[in-house]
Amino acid sequence: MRGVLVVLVAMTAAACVRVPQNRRGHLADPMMSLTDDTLETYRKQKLYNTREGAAGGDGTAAGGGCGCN
Amino acid sequence: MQLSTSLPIAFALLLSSGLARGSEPPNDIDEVLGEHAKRRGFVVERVETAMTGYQQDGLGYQSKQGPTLGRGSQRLTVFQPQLLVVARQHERITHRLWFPVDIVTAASANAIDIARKPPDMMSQASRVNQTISFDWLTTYTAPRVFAMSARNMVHTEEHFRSWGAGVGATVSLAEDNSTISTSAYQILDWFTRFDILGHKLGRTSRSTTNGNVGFTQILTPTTIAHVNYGLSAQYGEMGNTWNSVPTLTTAVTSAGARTTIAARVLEQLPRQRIRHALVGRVAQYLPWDGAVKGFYRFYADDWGLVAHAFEGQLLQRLIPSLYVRGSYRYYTQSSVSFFTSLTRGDDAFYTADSDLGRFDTHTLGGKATIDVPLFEGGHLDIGYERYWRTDGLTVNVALWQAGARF
Repeated sequence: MRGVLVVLVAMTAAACVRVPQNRRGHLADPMMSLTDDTLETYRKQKLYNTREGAAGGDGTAAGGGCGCN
Repeated sequence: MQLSTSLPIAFALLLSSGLARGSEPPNDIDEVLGEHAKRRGFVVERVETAMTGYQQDGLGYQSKQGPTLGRGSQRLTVFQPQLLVVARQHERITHRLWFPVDIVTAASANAIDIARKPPDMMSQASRVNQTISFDWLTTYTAPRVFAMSARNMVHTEEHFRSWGAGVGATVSLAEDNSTISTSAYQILDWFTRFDILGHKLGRTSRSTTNGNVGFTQILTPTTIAHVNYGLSAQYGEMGNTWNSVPTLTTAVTSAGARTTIAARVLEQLPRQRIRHALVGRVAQYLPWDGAVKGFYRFYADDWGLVAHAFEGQLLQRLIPSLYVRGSYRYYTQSSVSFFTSLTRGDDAFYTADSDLGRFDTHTLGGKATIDVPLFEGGHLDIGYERYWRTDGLTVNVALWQAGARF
């Protein structure tokens, strides 16, 4: 938890920094996408959420219909 | 001021999105999107297709496909085709239509009614159980700083129905250097309840309410980070209703002697679960045309399960039209407080579900993304992942994805 707080504080402090739009070319590269696209997100959810007990709570629904096990 | 005028308009457009043909307010989005954005009617902007195959093997105490007091088979095969279409209805309104399908063949569910002939619906379905979902996301983008969305989801499979709806909003600050996002969902699952032999006992249900808040920040011209907190509250039937737990019971023989025999009973789960998840992500561009990404997730719930997940990805562009990705994920979880591999049946709650036990997992994967010049934004992704748990469960994942923008 301490590490998470450090990250939060660092990001809050960094909010004072403004990067102009004409210097964000690298951030627009598809490799830099912070989140996976919808289809890959679903694929990962299928792999992890139906096999681990820690599903949901971060923008995804917990539970679901898979009675695979 | 801008927000207060945009909200009522957004709600009206979302509620009547099929009829929305509002007048064209002159603003900067036209300059950004140009003539394309001024078209009327639905314009398909993007199509994505994917196919993923999962092959799972392993043993778990909850499965009846094995010895009575031992672990049963968790062999499983899934084919998962997906189709996603993004269409623009209006310069400010887009629709994302998404159809994921799962075709599941599971060994453990097939064994529910192993002593029952002929097999009932559940076992027949489990041999090849198709699940189909439909997910419709409508997004309204207001000038400059604000976007909101409405989402509807339907999921169906042989014995299971699920409906979901949600709303989300995103506010950009400091010339888009910072973004705050929130979303809320309500999901209702409605499914068949079985006894341990596979007999149907009517219907049962589960409700999930989920809320999220996230913050994204550009840190430098080559670094971006994101944190998100999510809370899910679930009420109702929490299990699939056929997971079993090994037990020992006492029986009286014909000679009058008492003997202990091995048996199985249905797992007993609480009817409420509160889940918390905190996620952090960071991406750093590398000067040799690559990128490195880090991911951490902390999870805790009121069943006593605590989990940590760490993931690292290294991406490298080899030529202008091809980049590759290598990834490794480590995950560890404690067991829920009532996990057991042998119950006496006198506790309030007990489960032998291996997913709720204590274990670590590793996932090692690679993916290549190739630009396809036939279409604007055309790409082809091919990848493979190997997932393994310290309790012996393994999954091989092969994936393929292709898409284009129009």
